[in-house]
Amino acid sequence: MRKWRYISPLAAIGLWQLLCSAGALKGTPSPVQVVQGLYELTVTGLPPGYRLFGHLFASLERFLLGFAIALALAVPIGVLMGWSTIFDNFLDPLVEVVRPVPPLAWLPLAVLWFGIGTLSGSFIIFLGCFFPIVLNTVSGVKSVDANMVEAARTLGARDRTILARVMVPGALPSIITGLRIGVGIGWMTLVAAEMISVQSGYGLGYMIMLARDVARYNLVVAGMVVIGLVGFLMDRIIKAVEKRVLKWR
Amino acid sequence: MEMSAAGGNGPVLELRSLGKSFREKKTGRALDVLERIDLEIAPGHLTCLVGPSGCGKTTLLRIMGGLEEPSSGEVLLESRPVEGPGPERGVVFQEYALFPWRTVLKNVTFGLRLKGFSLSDARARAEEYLAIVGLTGYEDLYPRELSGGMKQRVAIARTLAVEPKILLMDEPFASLDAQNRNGMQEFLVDLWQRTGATIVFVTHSVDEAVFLGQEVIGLSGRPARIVSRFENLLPYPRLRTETCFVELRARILEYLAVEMMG
Amino acid sequence: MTHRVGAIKPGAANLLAIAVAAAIIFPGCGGTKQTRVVRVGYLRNDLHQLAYYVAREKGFFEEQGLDVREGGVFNAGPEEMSAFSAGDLDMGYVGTAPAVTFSAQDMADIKIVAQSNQEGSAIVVRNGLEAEDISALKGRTVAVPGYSTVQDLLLRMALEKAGLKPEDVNIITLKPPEMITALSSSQVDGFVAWEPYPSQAAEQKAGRVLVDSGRTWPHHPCCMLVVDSGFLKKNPDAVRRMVAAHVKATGYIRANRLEAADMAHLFTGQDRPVVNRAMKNIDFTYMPDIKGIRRYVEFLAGNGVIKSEDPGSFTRELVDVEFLPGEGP
Repeated sequence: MRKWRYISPLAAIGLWQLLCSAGALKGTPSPVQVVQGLYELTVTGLPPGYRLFGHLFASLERFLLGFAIALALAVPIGVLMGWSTIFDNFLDPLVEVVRPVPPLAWLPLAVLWFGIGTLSGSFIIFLGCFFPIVLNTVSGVKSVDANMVEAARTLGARDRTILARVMVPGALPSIITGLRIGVGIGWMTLVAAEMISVQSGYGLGYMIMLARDVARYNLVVAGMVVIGLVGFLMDRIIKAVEKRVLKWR
Repeated sequence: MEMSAAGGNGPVLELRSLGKSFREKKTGRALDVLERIDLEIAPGHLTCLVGPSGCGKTTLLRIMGGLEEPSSGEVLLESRPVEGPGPERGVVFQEYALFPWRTVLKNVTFGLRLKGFSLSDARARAEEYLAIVGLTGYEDLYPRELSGGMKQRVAIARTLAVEPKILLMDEPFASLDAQNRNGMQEFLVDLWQRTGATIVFVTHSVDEAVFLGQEVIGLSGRPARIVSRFENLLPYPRLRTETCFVELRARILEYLAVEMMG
Repeated sequence: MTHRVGAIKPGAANLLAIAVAAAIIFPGCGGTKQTRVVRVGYLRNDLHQLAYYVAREKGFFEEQGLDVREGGVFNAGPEEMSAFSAGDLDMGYVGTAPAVTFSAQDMADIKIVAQSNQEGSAIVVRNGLEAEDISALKGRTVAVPGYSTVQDLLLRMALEKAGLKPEDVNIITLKPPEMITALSSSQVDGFVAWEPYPSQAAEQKAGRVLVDSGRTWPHHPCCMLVVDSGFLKKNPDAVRRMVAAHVKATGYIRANRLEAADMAHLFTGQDRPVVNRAMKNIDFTYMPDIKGIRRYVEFLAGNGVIKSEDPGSFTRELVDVEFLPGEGP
């Protein structure tokens, strides 16, 4: 029965409310306070006048820009790295050294290079999205059955056709996995990204930062809830796309 | 649906003094896999290559298909040296090697589009060949929805659609269970008779080779040499229980056994 | 007096033992100053909290018999207040804004026992901007270091004085180090921040000071010395001594400006020209301006940031000046 899936999160929320009412979780906002916070953010906004949906759209904009650029760069680079050993040997060390650096650490450089507008935030998000996509693309390409490549060759395919018509579709399941992970990580870096990308005064991460500065923890958690929900929705969308695109599986 | 006839009556495929050796990675030692193979394949013939597992018959087939290069000697297609794989030497793999993300139809049109066929022409030709292999009605299915035998038939259709001069088959029925395998062997004989294709068929099953081939060529263990050629003049369709069939099979088996010992 | 056999004879040795025991059990009795451990927090490289550094370097804490341990050096006020919430600090130098917001929302239970400085901020504009006064900020983007900080209030007060509304300006929050970069690349038209950032901007020619904060809001609060309420209840004497050391350090800074500037340079790592310029704008005083603090509380309540029916009584509860001498500075 699918209804049973909702029991555990509801039970957790119930327990949380109970503990807060009993005063056990010092300072932690209760579910009721969080819902009140959501209402306040939606109607009044933080700062007053800067409402939740404005923050949400600004964040989505930054995110989509960073993600799109990551996708446009990571897939071709990943395909090339998976396909050509020379390319792989050349780029792989670079990728492996940069990858462990947390996007947050790039903040000062991001401000230097891109200022405090949308671009700097998108850059941080780009860093979050890029590496999972590249790595999964490489692994996807490398795992394409060699027989298929040979079959394509015997049918007259040259390198370019093989890359476009065999490697990419063959690697697509892995690429989409990379997308899912990349979206997850990129969306998580939003809070970091929006510590600097604040020129417009809008952004979910930015909003959380403000709430935190004034110790309005129920607004902080409300912001977290929104970020979590949107992230969840995006993941669902990708899953649905995956199902359609990979219907041959 | 005739296959493109060879120019004149000369052999479709010639192997002259073909040799192949690999360099062992660990020791750097040269490993001879094939030794002075001389072979001529006449147009329209169904030739089987048999030999013990790992003897190099697959390597030989791959060289014929241009998927690997010989270390010595040459491969001539209609008297011209071959360079790399191409549609005029069709290859059918044991693992089918179908494109899983493409429908049956799109698998078959793959090579046709590469040849420059328009979308509609490719579709038409593909449907013809799917009819030849008996898969009309399955055009929009995906490979994962097909049985092993059906997948192999799609692979054959895919290869035939680009009208190769020779069809090279590398143990194509080895992945099938006995029942399906027999059925596919009958299917292949029928297909060959209808199309007049030139086929080289590699197998380690002598039974299969005797059932299929007009000529059975026996390869020794590594390094492989051609050690015997058996002409099979039995009429088609052949019965596995027939005395001549059984005798021929026994003869070949014995010969190969000797070769393996020696 | 006759001594019966068997009764305790109060000889000299016994008296000494009792005295020692008493001194250990009742410290402070008999006038001995026991060394008290106090965990103190402060903000990293913060010019306004110079008094802490001076007191430490000049031994004022030791004089008072205090063993001051650094409970933490923080990058921002809210972080320090979180440490108070967690019970990791006894006392600390921190900005008025986080002290009030955390306190008002019962996230930390503290009292303000002294001021570290007042004023010491400025409204800065970028060089390319034609600006005689605040009215030039209309339609511009101005950065403040935090939502609803004292600087945020300062800006709004300045705007009001110039006949503008807060909606006339795009007010965004930016961390002060980023403010200077943003100003020099014209990503913002101005910012409001505490020293040394305005002086740094001026020295680096990234912008110029339009107005010092003390002109907009005289005696406005800035950094405070706070104490955890629990610690205050248990150790009022230690708090008294801390405040005394702080007062002495504050007086020292006022009386020895040149040396103070040198120490500030060492403490914050800022260049001397910047430090010298900044020190001119900071008023190191120890007496908090209760009216100023209340004004700030009213601002927060009006903003909806905190709920306070009676800002006046809240402020009186929050500020405890019993340890301070007289009226000031």
